[in-house]
Amino acid sequence: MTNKYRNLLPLLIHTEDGAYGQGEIFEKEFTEDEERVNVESGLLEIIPRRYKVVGESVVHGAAPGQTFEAGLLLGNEAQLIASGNIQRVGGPPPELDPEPEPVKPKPTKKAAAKRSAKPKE
Amino acid sequence: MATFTLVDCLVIVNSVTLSDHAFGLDVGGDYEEVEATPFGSTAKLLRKGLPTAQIEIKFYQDYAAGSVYATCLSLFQTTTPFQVEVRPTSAGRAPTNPGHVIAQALLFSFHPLSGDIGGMSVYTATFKNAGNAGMTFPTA
Repeated sequence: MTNKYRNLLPLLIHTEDGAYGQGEIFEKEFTEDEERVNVESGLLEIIPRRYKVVGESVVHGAAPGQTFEAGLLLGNEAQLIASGNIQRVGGPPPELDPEPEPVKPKPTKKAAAKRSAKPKE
Repeated sequence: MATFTLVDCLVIVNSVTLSDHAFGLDVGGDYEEVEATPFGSTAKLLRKGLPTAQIEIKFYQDYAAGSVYATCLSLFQTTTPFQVEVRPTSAGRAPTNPGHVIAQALLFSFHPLSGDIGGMSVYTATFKNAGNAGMTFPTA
């Protein structure tokens, strides 16, 4: 099982598929212990994913049949899946905080008028 | 000063709300008493050593998916710490309704089936501290 993580510190994190700076998101397969250490140290934040409550108990405040979003540690997620409480919803974890496309400023009426007034060469 | 009876405690084990199966609680911890009495003392001197913390919860046993048995079995079978929280009432955390939290607990023993003929099947789980934070009492 993998999770997606956000680098919280001003460090470069090197993985098999690249290097990630502060604020950047990457996917990696950690062991449960590695993940816990990295999250507890404040280096990484788990990107929340969606789960469905499939057991008969309320989980993370969600009633049976409902879904919730949480950034669960791999170990705790495995415990909840093994006990029949939850299952992952959908395929890969959701893409959060993608780099926003730079917004091009809309031409103002004045600028448009200037452009149209320019003589064609 | 207000007193209250235990009628609506909140019990959350590894983010699973099991209040509707719980009927008894014992929350607490102890510091190890470390002997520090030198020659010449006229009384025993004790120092505080390291604290323990544990939350004991009595459940009515339930073998349904995701209920008491399944939830606790998966916790017993792994070595990954998990969070346990109980509150005096099911309301949100507040100074008058503090959480009693072991953020990294482990379940060391599991006796899921015990009782007598005609009686309710009852299971007592004792969650013990396995992290440096021990027990905390958040109010928010």
